[in-house]
Amino acid sequence: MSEDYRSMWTDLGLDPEAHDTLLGVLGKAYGDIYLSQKDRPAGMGYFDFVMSEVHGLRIRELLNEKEAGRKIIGSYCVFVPEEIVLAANATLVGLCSGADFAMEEVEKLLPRNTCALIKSSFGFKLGKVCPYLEISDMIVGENTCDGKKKAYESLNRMVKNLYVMDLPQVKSPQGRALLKTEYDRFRSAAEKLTGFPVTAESLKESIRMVNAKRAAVHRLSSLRKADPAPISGLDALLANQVFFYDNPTRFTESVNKICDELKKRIEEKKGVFPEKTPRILLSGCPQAVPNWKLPFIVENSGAVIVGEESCVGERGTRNLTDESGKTVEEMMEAIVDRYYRVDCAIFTPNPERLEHIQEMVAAYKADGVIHYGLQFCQPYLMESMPVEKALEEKNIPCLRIETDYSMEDVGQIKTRVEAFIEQIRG
Amino acid sequence: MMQENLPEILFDSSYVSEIEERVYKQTMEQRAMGRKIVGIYCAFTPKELLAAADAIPVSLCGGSEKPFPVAEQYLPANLCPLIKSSYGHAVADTCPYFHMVDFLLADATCDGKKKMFELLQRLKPLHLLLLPQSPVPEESLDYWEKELYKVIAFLEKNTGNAITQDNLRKQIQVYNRLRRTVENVFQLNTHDIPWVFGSEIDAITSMGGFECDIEARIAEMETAMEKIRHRSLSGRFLAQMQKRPKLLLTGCPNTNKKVLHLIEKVGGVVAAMETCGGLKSTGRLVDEGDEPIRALAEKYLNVACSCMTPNSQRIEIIGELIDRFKVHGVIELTWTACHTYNVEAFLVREAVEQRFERPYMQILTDYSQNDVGQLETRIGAFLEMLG
Ligand code: SF4
Ligand code: SF4
Repeated sequence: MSEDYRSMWTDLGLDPEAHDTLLGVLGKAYGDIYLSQKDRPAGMGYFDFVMSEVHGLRIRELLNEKEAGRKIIGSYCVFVPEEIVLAANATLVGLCSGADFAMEEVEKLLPRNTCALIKSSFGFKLGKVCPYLEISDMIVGENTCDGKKKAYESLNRMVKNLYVMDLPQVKSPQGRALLKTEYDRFRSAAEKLTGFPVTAESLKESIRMVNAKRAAVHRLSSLRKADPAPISGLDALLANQVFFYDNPTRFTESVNKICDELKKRIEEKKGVFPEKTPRILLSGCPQAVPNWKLPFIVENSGAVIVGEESCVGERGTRNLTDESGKTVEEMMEAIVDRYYRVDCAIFTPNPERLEHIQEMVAAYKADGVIHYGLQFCQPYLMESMPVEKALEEKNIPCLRIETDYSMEDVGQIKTRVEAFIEQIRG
Repeated sequence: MMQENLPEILFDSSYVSEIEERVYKQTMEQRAMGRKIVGIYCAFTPKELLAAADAIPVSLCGGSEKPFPVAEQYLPANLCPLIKSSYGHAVADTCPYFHMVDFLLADATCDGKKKMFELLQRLKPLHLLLLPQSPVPEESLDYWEKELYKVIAFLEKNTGNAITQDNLRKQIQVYNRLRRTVENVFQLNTHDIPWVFGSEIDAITSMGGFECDIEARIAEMETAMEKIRHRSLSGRFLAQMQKRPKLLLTGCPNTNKKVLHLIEKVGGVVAAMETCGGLKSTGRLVDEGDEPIRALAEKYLNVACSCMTPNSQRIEIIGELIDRFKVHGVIELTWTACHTYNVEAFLVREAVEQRFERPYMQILTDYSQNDVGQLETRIGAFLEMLG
């Protein structure tokens, strides 16, 4: 990698050696897991490039944006509205982290029994290996699950620019009102940060831009209904992950290009796996880069993943924001409406999620559901048993996997997944 | 576990059993006459409202590990023991209190509880109170006040009794008196030499299950205090107490008493408890001069529970208690898989060690007896260090 990036990373305050280690691991995992796949769509070349430059070119671009006067806002959650960020002349980047790092340091600050995602986000900070975190002018934490909301109190000691957003726990008129208040407060904070007021024009444009990005992902998802599957679940997951990092317009174009290619593949009945390969829907906790463990296991055990009911997936992208609003106030209401529908397990009760899982099973013709729970994630693990029961009552096979980011349980998970796929084959 | 090795102990679990028996009988009589029984799970539930609707509150947090196997058929094994125990008892119908309950008032506090309530509502009518997640913004208080109005509507409908201002004012006074009395019991330990064991305080201040006659309990607490004062006249007793380091116990609710009892068995005195049943919720009274519902909202929003963010109030309370009770060290009890207290423990340790300059120890455990030997050694070493 060029020396040029090296000084950029040091300037950002990264630890050069630790960062090299991380990039080494990332590069190797990407090679083993992604580049080894057969018959990938040519359009995935774009994502290969993005991943190879995820700490390089993309960071350079963001630095250029900053020089031109834009601000960068980092977020850990799909409840942070990108529309507002863009309209205030800032760029949103995802900070969710998907690998263990500096665990010894992390466990001085957080209980060992904390979900891997939260620990990882601390690890990336403590290990000084995440350029996105360092480049951010504002970091938004949200009161979602207990683990996260309490962890932000400690994170607040480690970063200077943490902004905490409250969220409702129940979908009631009061809950919606709370979300509205918080989004208004966030809008003011973003405006204050950038010095740019959110106007009706800028908000309208950003709503359109983010909707276009979501629409491209919807298009990609609907092509995955085909049998044989035209794209692997791993590759589709990657697109969903890059959704959080990339320049929105370029991302939209690239996904649409892949979709054109997939459309042709479907017409030619070409796929990445043979026809009648068992089809799996993944449902549960988010999978942040480079957490590719479970999809890798599934797709190397004779099944294909056809959908992700996840924040990094359809839960995060499925709803669009209504574009008909004229005033800032009307559009803010539309944004609140849109995010209020996200069926995250932090809400109680959360019956929409179960409905959505069933809809997805039908739409993507999935043969079974694998429920992916991160160890110690109470919201999703608590939902996993009722979800499993409900699905089984409808004769939809379901397998509950509870895991973390370590590789120790790969063999054990593979055995269980293989048995599950056997069961589906019947 | 029994309280072992405690000199001249006056109040133990048999004292509590007697109260429980009496209260149970009383409640059954009143129930037969039509009073409703309401199960609650949390210090955030304003019991004054229940009492004003002539209902009888009963706290349902489970303290035993027996119902775990049945709970684990519905809940992940890796969950806080309090939640598993409460749910297991309920679903297996092994808790006489739960059995008697007409309906439940549950607060959306931690993730584990709030998701558990989704299952619990299949067993009994349940009204969920939507707590704000932060006590800080002004809107939180208005929001919470509105929630209390919903509780009132729910209670009036389900008990058939109207909650009048007069009634409510009266109940606020009763519960304030109860809080003051509990404070007074603890107050006995503010002398340099502690007068009463934490496990005794736990027995003395226990409600004994159903809260159907608070006045009687207050009177009994007064009598107990007299006995304690009397015991403190004994030079021999004080000499023994003087040898014991004074501790503040903080953290998760003491639903299972193993840690409390271990600390005292090993030679300490739990002089103060910053926990839900203890000093966490008694320090601040409901303002009797204010409009009653607003006053209740204010009081109950400010329970310094770790499910709130930020929860800096708790650190302040801990600091005050350290000073007031002149404790030598702080022990924090966190139940396994309780994320809120476990994560917050980092901030508590930092404050105790650096700001309040006292030794701190965290005990992470569950309801099982497996680690008792190991805990005894650790606590012993900690007490030794306190000198
Ligand atoms: S995976 Fe679960 S515990 Fe982890 S951050 Fe998300 S909701 Fe919280
Ligand atoms: S001890 Fe912790 S996890 Fe358990 S009920 Fe209380 S706050 Fe929830």
